[in-house]
Amino acid sequence: MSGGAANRGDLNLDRSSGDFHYAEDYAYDAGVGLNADVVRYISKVKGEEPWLLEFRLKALEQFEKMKNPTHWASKKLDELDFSKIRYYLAKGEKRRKSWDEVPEDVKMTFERLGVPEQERAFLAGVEAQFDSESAYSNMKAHLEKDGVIFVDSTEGLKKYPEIFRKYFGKIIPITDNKYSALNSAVFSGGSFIYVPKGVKVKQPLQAYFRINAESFGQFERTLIIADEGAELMYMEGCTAPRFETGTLHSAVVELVALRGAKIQYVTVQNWSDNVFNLVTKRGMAEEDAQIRWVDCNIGSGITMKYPAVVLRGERARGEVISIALANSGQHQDTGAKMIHLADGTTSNILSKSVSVSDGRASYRGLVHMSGSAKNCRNKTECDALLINSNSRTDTYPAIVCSGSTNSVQHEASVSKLDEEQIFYMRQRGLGEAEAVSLSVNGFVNDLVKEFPLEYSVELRRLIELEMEGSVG
Amino acid sequence: MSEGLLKRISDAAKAKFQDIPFPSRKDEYWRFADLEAWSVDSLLPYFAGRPTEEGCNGAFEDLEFDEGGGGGFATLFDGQLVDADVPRGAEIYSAGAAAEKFPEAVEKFHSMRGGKFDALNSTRPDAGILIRVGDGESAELNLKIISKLPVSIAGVCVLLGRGSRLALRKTNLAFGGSFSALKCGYFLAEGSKLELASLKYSSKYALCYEREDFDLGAGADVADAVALAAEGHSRQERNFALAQNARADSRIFALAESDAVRDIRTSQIHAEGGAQSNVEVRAALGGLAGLAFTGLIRVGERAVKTRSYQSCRSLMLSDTAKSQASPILEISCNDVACSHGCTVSKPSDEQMFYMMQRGLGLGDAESLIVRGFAETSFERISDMELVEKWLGRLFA
Repeated sequence: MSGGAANRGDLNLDRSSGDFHYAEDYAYDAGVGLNADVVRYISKVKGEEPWLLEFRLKALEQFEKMKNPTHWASKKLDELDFSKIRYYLAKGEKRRKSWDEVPEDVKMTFERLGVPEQERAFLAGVEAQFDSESAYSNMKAHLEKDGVIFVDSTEGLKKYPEIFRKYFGKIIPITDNKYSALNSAVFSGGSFIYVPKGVKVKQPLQAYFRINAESFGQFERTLIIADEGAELMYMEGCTAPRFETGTLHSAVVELVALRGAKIQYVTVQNWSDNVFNLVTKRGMAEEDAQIRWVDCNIGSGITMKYPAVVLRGERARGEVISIALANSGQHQDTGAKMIHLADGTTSNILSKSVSVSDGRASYRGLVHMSGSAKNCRNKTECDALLINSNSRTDTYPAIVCSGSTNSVQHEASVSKLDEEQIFYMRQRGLGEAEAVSLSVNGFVNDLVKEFPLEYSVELRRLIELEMEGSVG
Repeated sequence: MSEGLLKRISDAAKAKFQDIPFPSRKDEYWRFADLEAWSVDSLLPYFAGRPTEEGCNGAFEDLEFDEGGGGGFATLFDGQLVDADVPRGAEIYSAGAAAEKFPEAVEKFHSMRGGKFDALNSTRPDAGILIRVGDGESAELNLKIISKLPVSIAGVCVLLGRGSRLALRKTNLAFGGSFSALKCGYFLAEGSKLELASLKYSSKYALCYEREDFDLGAGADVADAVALAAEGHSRQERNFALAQNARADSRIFALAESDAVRDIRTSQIHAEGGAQSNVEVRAALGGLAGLAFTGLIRVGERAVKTRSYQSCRSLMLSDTAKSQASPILEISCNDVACSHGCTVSKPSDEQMFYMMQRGLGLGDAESLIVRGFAETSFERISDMELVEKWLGRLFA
């Protein structure tokens, strides 16, 4: 695909920024396939406490019991062969705080992806995960002074059990779905963040996830706790080189926003197109708290991701802003869930998808307002743009609303490129591809603006590149 | 020959009914349904001929069956044609006669893909009628379908010839203690037109399953309006398959106050280009009433220039009412305009205030708003007298 010709429906994708990998040289390798010994091996390498091993083994049992949800999801999930995946790979080196200390090949990987520049430019802290383990982690000194904790999951559970254990696995229990159970059994890496009461982290914290090895599954686990009145923005990016065999990324992200706290979680997903990206993300918002998921899915072969907010406290607010670009051979199955459990809670879902060539974009959503909650409001908008005649889009929303004081509004529309717009631009000298690219950028522009500036510029560029060769 | 055909259909349907499991949550189209009402435990008393005693002898007081209007009439009582005045331009056949004269149509009617309860319906292919309007003909017909047996099965197959027109007014009544399984199939040939107005009324102790399939030929047109005043559990399926340049407009209004779930499932399948479809579901839910709506718009790869819309609006009249909706879009063609909308809200405070300021009581104001909410569902029905009569009955 990368050599893509310009025939209609074929894309010339630019994956050059992420499509490279270095020779594999791992000190710890759990081998291929999944069983209780693999789980014990991971737990032992990480030096975990017995309760955590028990948690992992219970999750493995649950994973084996559960079936793939192919009665509603893509049948492609059955192509995943869990016996051929490597579940833990690590270089066995300590996480570095100084960029100069990072091993040369890992450093070169992240330097090619621009991580250090971004950190210097605008980040409050950064964590870079290379396969199973975090390779580099750094945070600005003043935040440490304020008591902000930003570590990887292993360190978080070891050093701060009193903070993290309370919420770990509570927002997304191991029984939630097959892939959260898998993650719970073999998780490694991911960020643990705690922002103390009233602390407002002004610059974003960032994590970067990188898969380097073939047939490898990355299972990071992230838990973010914003204490009362705290605020933070967290951003994650991800890439992988393109290998011949499929790669699995199955993360679990749990957010806890205590009274009056605000969490904004931004994701730009640009995995290579043979990655199965099956992620469970959920946040719990207490009284007056706000959780906002800003999600952009450009890469992967198949993505299944439905960020959720459980609005547990009165007047809590949840928001999901989602952009999905499904190119040839890709299926972006994304959406959002809003569970209103308390009075006066509000939520907003904005989703835009673009399907190119035979790409398929699906929106799956749930808005649930229980009968005991009063004066809840939700607004959902899903717009889909189909570029080529063989593109596909689906919308599968579910709305459950009880009581006369709650209100829900849902609307979805599907359209094609406006021929008049294209004609207008072409008349003024733009090539067809440029005109289409500009039109697509215009379609998603409202949502791209919601991303932090550095990301929105990057997003626009990515969309332009993805559109290259889609028409002609 | 007809007996042979009907027996073959019945045998195949019996086998199918046994093979297909009872609905489960895994089935996208039964996702929100009250599965308990459709479980084997719930249905067994009906099949054993011992449905609940309560309401078995209930009558529909104040409900005159004579809807008036022009044209002929036909009455189906538990699937048997008991009375008919065939209107000019139309022909009515019993199931046996239809199998003799139109074997292909009868076979097609029973071979429509469906679930367990469609198979149940086809186990009795001898119960029902076939209505035919010849090429270029025009007819008006009042059809009453009454269910009183513990398991009451009926099938209505309607064949419209090229360029023909049928105005069909349909009243369904299901008495307490009856499980009514009704299947209607409308086959519209090129350029034909169907105006269908249906009033469905069932006792609190009845269980109603109804499936209506519309197979629209090129340029055919359907204007469909349904008023649901079912007190018991009911499931309503309306499926539209549209050929080139066909048009379908379906509006369903459900008024519910009892604790049963009104389960509505619709589909708009566009396989060919240039067709237009619109489905609007409106429900006014009071008491413990529930609405479970699943709607599907599917546009195939060749269906260019399709215009397809779907909406579901629930008006919540009580704190205990519940609305569940799943409007689905599956679009595989880019030159289309499709959308769906779904809202759940209570009557507007401003509207209520306006009317109460002008002297209306709370109940009257609310009733007026609900009536206004319902009226748009009947906009495309040309017989205004009938619409007024039905609305008067619904809001009596």
